[in-house]
Amino acid sequence: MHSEAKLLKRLQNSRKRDRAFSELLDLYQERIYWHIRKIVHTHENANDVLQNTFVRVYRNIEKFEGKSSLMTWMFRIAYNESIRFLEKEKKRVHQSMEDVSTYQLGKLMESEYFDGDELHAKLLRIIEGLTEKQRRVFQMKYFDDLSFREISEILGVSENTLKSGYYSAVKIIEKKILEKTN
Amino acid sequence: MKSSHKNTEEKKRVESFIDGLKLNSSTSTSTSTSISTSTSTSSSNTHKEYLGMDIPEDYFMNSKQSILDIVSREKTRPYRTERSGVEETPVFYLRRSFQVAASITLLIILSISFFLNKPVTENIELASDDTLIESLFVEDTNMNQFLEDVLVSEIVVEAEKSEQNLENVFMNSLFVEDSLLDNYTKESVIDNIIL
Repeated sequence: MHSEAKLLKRLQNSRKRDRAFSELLDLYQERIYWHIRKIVHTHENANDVLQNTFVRVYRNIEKFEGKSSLMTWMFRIAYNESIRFLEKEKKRVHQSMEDVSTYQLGKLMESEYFDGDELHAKLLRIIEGLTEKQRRVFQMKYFDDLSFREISEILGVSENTLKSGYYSAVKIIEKKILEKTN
Repeated sequence: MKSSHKNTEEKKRVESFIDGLKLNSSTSTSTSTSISTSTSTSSSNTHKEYLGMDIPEDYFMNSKQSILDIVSREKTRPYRTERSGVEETPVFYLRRSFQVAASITLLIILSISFFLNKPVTENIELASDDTLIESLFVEDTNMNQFLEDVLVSEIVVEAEKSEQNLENVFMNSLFVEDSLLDNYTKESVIDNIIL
């Protein structure tokens, strides 16, 4: 266990920053990567967005005032970078945001970094079929292991809205997955 | 036999996933002031197990290095654009130092030309007006006499000019036919008087 406050202090000290940043990568890189990967789907996309995210974190760490936790601040940057990536893709392929996401999901299933079977594909499609809010809160809660308070800080949505979104997402997934497997 | 085994395995995974959903629904809080690495180590397994998402071998080690490389390059470069995330070296004439130097040079050139041109103009003006120069050397007591002389000389010059004009009219009239003489004399004299 490390203290986030101490790490932040070192990150904001120009002499200690590089070493602290390396530790920050050790601690959060993997979680942030998976958070991004579920939004942009393919490994190649996630790799680009991950790099942009940490470069942005490095550039702006001095300005970080500590109003939220360092972790949620980084997740928020990662989330915004992922959405920015999808927006760019949307312009490139002239499709809606939802269509871009589905298109990227299709690319994932064809890619070498998809090691799933039919059940995986089913679950991914079910999650993709949720509304944007339901999908994000479900992914953050279930896979990223974030609390509702943390998700609320990242997405800027009230905890109650997130809770209702999550429970309805769980119900839908449970129902659909049982339907498809039986 | 094989397919029944596959079905049982699939069912187990579905059950485990659904159990996870229920477990997650019941635990809704976690601390954020401390850092735990246990979640990140199991993160890759969860994503592979439930979503079939895979990553290249040693990906996180290589990725960390490439991020650190980008960041160290970032420090050595003087300019970058925050919006695009792409570092850029501006064209030399867009650099601030160049713009300042160019502005100063332009200012100096304009000042020099202004100061060089100003006396020249004054000289031309003074040279064209001899009376004005002369007046500078006249003493105060003699100023009235000087002005009188200047005015008289100007009147004499003007009178000589008009006399000359009348002579011209007379000379020209010699070449005009008799029938047109009256009109010509009238017009020329009137012009001369008016002018």
